[in-house]
Amino acid sequence: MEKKQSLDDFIDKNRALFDDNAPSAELWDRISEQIPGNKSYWQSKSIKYSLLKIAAVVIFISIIPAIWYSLLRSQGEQQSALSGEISEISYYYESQIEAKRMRVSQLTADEPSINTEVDADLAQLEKILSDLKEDLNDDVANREVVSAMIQNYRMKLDILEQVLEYIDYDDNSSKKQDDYEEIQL
Amino acid sequence: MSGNSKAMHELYKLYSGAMFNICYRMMNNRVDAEDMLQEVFIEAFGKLNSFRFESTFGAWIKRITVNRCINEIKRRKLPVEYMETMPDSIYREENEPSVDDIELSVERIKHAMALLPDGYRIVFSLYMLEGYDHEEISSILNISQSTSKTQLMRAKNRIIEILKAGQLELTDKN
Repeated sequence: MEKKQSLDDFIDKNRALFDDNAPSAELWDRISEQIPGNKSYWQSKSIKYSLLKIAAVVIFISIIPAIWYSLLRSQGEQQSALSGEISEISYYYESQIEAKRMRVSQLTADEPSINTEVDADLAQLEKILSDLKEDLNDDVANREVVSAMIQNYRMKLDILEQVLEYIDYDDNSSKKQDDYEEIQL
Repeated sequence: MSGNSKAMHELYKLYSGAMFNICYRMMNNRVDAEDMLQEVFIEAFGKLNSFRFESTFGAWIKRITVNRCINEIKRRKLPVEYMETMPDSIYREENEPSVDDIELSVERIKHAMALLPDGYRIVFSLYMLEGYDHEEISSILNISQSTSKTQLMRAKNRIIEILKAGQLELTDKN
């Protein structure tokens, strides 16, 4: 007696033909932009850094009215008490930034493009910081100026921490990749 | 591209086709399937460090793919209905309707699958095409094995009905 044909048999015999759809060619670009460690991911991070820079400028500009307001109300008040605090804050942040900057330099010795990018970002923030320090010398609305300085320092730390995170991820993934190669996946 | 990125791209080229087809069958449309595939690879590359070689990379990413799709279907609260169970004696191969008088083709079966309710289509895909057994399906979908078997049998019957109806349409047109 002839065995009747079944749906299961037909699908088993033709299994490979059921996988005939393919994703669009652009999908890899979309994926690679979101994978930490990829160059395109790094480029998209650069856009975020640009936004950080814009934010720094906006913060700087936005404190100008506060400076004048404060000038009218309490010019000269409590300014001397701030000087010790400012020195302390500056020392704290600058030592952290310096340590992270050195770490980034060491780890990206073979990736000069990352170093250049980081240097450019930090230089722009440094320029804003210099302006803020000059404002401090005016002895006007120093509380707001100090607040903007702290924001500036934190942005620098953010940039450096993101770079370190990226480098760390890349290192770990590279190690993992070596494992793949060993078992010839 | 760094060596790491190249390796990821190679993995993508190797597995994206098969994973996309799983997504397509689960989500039943191309746009959602591409969104799922994107999420699958981002998750997989992000978790590469946790891949312990307890299975092949293919099996590992396949499980991520299936889970992602199921979670998305659940997240959207799509009304996936699993029918009531039947006695085990019903799941016998000889009880399956014959397809001897039906012209089978991959395209026609895929078309019929796309017309199935989500619950039928998902179980049918997992069992017939992705190679999962009822125990695994029951675990993935959080249903009983009997429900999985019932879904599969009903899915097959529905597909055969659709194929037969299509055959009639073709005959009428001729």
